[in-house]
Parts: sequence; structure tokens; C-alpha cells
Amino acid sequence: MIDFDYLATLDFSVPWKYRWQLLSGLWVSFCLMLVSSAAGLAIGIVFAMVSRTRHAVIRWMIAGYVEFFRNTPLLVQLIWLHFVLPLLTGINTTPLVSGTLALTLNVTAYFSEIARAGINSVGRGQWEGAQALGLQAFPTWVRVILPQALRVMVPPLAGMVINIFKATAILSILAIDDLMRVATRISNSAFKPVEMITAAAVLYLILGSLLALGADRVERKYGPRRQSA
Amino acid sequence: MTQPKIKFDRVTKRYGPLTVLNQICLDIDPGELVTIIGPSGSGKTTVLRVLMTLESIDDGVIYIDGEPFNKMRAGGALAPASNAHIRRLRARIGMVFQNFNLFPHMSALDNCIEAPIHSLGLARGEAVNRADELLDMVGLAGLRSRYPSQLSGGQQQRVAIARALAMQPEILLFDEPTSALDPEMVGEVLQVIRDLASAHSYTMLLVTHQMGFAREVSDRVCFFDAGQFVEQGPPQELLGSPKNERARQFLSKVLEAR
Repeated sequence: MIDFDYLATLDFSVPWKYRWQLLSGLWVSFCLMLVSSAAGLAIGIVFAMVSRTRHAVIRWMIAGYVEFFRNTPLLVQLIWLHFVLPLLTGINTTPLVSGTLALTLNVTAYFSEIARAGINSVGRGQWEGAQALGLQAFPTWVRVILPQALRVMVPPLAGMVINIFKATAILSILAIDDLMRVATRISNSAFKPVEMITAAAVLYLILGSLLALGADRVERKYGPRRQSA
Repeated sequence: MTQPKIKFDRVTKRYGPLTVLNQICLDIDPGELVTIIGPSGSGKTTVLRVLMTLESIDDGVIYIDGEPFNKMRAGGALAPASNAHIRRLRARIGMVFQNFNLFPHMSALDNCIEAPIHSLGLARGEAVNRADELLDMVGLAGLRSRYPSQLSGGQQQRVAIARALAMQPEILLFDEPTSALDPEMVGEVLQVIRDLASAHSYTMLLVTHQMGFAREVSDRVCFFDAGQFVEQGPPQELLGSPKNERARQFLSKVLEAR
């Protein structure tokens, strides 16, 4: 049952009026995703590489980090970092810094697991082949192991990036002017919550779909090759 | 008496309670081609793997050109070898694996220039020239830009041989180089090894189940069983009339199966 009388009262001229603010919010969301994905991927790969060390203490530290950030809600991490950490350390951070940091720390845990699986998928023979050729650790990683691991990592990475984009909406609680925050702020002042949230949803959908499309292309081009010949 | 190129001096390797190499001793002369035969799981591949430093050893000393390899001389005694020491001597050894272990994301040519550039520090042009010569030598001149997945097993193994040779080793280890190949491709790989043996001065250590080939190319055949070299001698002698009972049983089984 749809209440058509109510539907008729909706006024989408309001979100249209604020379209530039909404778009700038979308841009902030996109940048948050971009920064935390790039940083998280880089650190995650390093964590996955380092956790192959013989030193058990380092392995346990990384495992502890990953478990902590994967098994607690992002919302809790966010609030903790922004409100509790300054009380403990006296270091105050702006909402944008706290938000970006929390999101990055969170996604690093996931990326490092993806990277670990990718690295593990490279067979022992590749390491031995490199060693028999006298390749040292750095060229072995950069030239032999990581290029093969990255191929395997592409599908889960692509899915992860879209998840991060959606997760940026949580950062709105810290008053970062991302799309979600802009939409709620305007809806409060203009008293048009349904129209504003609907508009935000449509914008998330459009950019999210574009990301999925892009991810699909990347996967086709760089993903694991289907067995040929 | 010449100095042995490779010398195993009471080398022992254990995996937990299992002793894979039990105080093995073996001297290999420069330019000699020694074949190791023996039952599956007897540890003959481990002999090559410890020499390539893919496995550590628990006891004993391996010498390359008279220099301790897994140890180094410090004063009068032997100390654990440094990484630099191991790297320096390891550069004299090249290895060809049963499963090729080619880098699948690199073309045949790139496989052959990767280590010369990043490990020997060769200029790219020089590495390419040398790799082309070697690919030509193993009969793959036209296939340099193919990826491993676009090559047959025999071709892949020949690329792997060229790749090992590109590092200019003095010692070549072949770990069952034809075991993963379809029967019709065994011949082309054996031919390459045969050419290497006759036209070059490499010291070669070969683990194989190809008894006919072992008889034809080897200077010496060693029968390995239960962690030790049980019997060794010229190929005609060892493969024709082994003195050891276990060697006799093994050979009669292998020859029967053919």
C-alpha cells in the first residue's frame, strides 16, 4: 500500500536547491574513501609482508591489531578515537583527522587480511625459483611475489573499496561534511527529511554503481586469469 | 688430485624425527655429471635442495671449490656462514626444478633477464642479448615473448634451463627435470641437457628416473636409499650389475616397468 496523497506532498525542489552542497558532500565522501583505501592498502600489504617474519612477537602484534579492528564496530572505534583518546593523551584531533584515521585503521585490518591471502596464494615454488636465481628479498617481493598476489587480490579489493565508500556515511556523526552529514543538516533546517535522505541515497547509488562498474572492469583486465592453453 | 667442485662431508638433515640425509658424503669433480637415482621419498631431491640452500642442514659441511659453504672459516674453526658468504657461493649454482617454477607473469625473455638485471646488476641490453643467445641455444628463439601459460611443458622447462644458465653458474642441479612432462616432451628436454653435458664444462648433478638417459650421459651414477648413498660407480656397472641388494631390487623394478 502506498500513500499517494503523501507522495504528492513531497517537494524535490528542496534537494535541487541544495544540489551543490550535496555534491560537495559526495566529493568529501569520495575523498575519504580514496584516502583511507590508498593508505589502508599500502599499510595492509606491508603488514601482510611483515607478518611472514619468524619473530612471533611481531606476528602476534599484527594479528592482534587485525582482530581488534575487525571485531569491534567502526562506530565505536570512531568515537573512541575522537573523544576518548584526547582525554588519555591530551592530543586533540579535528573531526576530519579522527574520522580519516579511524576509517584508515579499520580498513587496514581488512586489507592486510586480503593481502595475506593473496600472498599465500603464490606457491612455494615461486619463492624457491627466486632464491635459486639469487634474487634478494626486495626484488623477490616487488618483482615476483607481489605482482602475482595482487592479481588474486583484485576481486576482494574491489568489493572492499565499495564497502569503504558506504562506510564513510558513519563519519557524519563527527560533523565531517560528507554527503550524509550535509543531507541530514539541510533536512533539519528545511524540514524536508524524506526528500533529503532520498536524494542522498540516489547520489550514493549513482557513485556506488559507478565504482562497481569500474571494479568490474579492473577485475576483467587485471584479475586472476582464466586458465588458458 | 684435483679439488672436488662439490664436497658433502657427513651432511645430515632431519625433519623432526625423520632423518632424510644421514651423514652423507659425496665428492664431485669439476665438469663431472653425476646422476642420483633411488626410490621415491628416499631423500635424493633433498641432496639438491640443501645444496641450493632451499633447506638448511643440521650437521656436516658442504664445500664448494674447497670452501665451506654452509659454514665459513673463522680463525682455525668453522663458524656459521653469513648471508653474504652464502650468497657469494650460491651464485655458482643454478637449479632446474621438476615443476619449472617459471614466473608466470613474465614472458620467456623476462624470466631470463630478471635475475641477471636485479641480482648480477647487468645492464638491460646486455642481459637481453645473453638471454636471446640462451633461448636460441635451447631451441626457443622465436618464443621469447610468450608467457609460460602459452608454452608446452617441454618448452617451459627449456626456458627454465635458459633462465638458470643466464646467471652463469658453474654448477647445475636438475631435480627430476622431466617428471612433470608429458612423454612426448621428455626427449626435447633431455636433448638440451645432453648438449650441455657434451659442449660445456658445467658440473652437473641430476636426479632422474630416466635410467636410459642416466646410463648415456652420466660419468657416475649414485644409488640413494634411506638417507644414504648406498652404492656408486660408472653407469654401465651400477645400472648393469649393482652389487647392493636394494639397488638390485630397485633397478629390476624400474626396468620391469618399462
